[in-house]
Amino acid sequence: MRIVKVVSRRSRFRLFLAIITSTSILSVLVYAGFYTDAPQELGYFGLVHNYTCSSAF
Amino acid sequence: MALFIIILAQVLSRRAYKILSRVEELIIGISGDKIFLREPLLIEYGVLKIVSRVVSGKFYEITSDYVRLSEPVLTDRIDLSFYRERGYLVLADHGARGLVVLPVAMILDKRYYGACITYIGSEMNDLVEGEYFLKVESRYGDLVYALVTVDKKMISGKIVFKKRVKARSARLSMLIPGGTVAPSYVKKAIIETTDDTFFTYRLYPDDQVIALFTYHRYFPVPEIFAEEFGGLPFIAGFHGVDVLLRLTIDLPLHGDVHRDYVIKRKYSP
Repeated sequence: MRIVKVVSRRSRFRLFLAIITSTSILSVLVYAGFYTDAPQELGYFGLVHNYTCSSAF
Repeated sequence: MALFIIILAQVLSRRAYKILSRVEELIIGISGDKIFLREPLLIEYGVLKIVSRVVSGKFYEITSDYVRLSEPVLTDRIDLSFYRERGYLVLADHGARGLVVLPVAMILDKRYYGACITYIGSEMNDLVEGEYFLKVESRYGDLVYALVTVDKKMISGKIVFKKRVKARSARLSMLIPGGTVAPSYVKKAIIETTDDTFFTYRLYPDDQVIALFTYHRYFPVPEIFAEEFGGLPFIAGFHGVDVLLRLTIDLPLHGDVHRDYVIKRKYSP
């Protein structure tokens, strides 16, 4: 007698794929958020922008 | 959104796996014609039918239908005659085409809700034991004939191949034609040869199998059954479908020549 559990073997790979995809999408969103919408003093690019502007004067 | 669905599916599949592991621990084994469980469970009996077919291009749809056959009962043993009387069918082909018809004992206890127990044995294969003489001849003089013996556990026999110049090989395959029951025909190669040969092809299963799965509307698909049982393409059970033996002569550039023979099946209500 044998007991077979019928579950998808591809689930682990899909989990790995989901984590990688979600991390990439989140990082892109954070990057885009800092670059466009966030106030300048909060983001890295904003700071750089201030610095370059002030140094120009 | 799609990402959310994938993650949710993962969480659900992990949960399903845990439930199945717990159900597996509950099963003591098969004795006589009963499956014995460690504790009484609320179980109802039914028949599950799942069809997956290609709709357009890469998209495919899955339709499932569960028919309840009895009221829930609290029991610690499952009668195998319930499965044996009804037979079963698992068909799956490349491209997500498939069909599953299984009698199931569904557990309704809160801890294992939706877990299904199915028994599959070689005595449930719906084929009648018999011998078949198959013969095909091409117009170029190539001749192949086969003496095939069919029983519940295997298809065996001998192929004699007398080839002239044109033929490359002879092939014996098992075929389920598409129609009202099956969504599409499924073909499984038994043997391909370039010479006279004996062959043996073991039908699934070669042992008593208890299959556990959790049922909900879109799972499991026939393809997953096939992957667990033996790989694609997959044919087992033969309940309610015509089964053909196809003997083919492979003629490169001239088209194959084949002839089909129907295998007798036991009548199952």
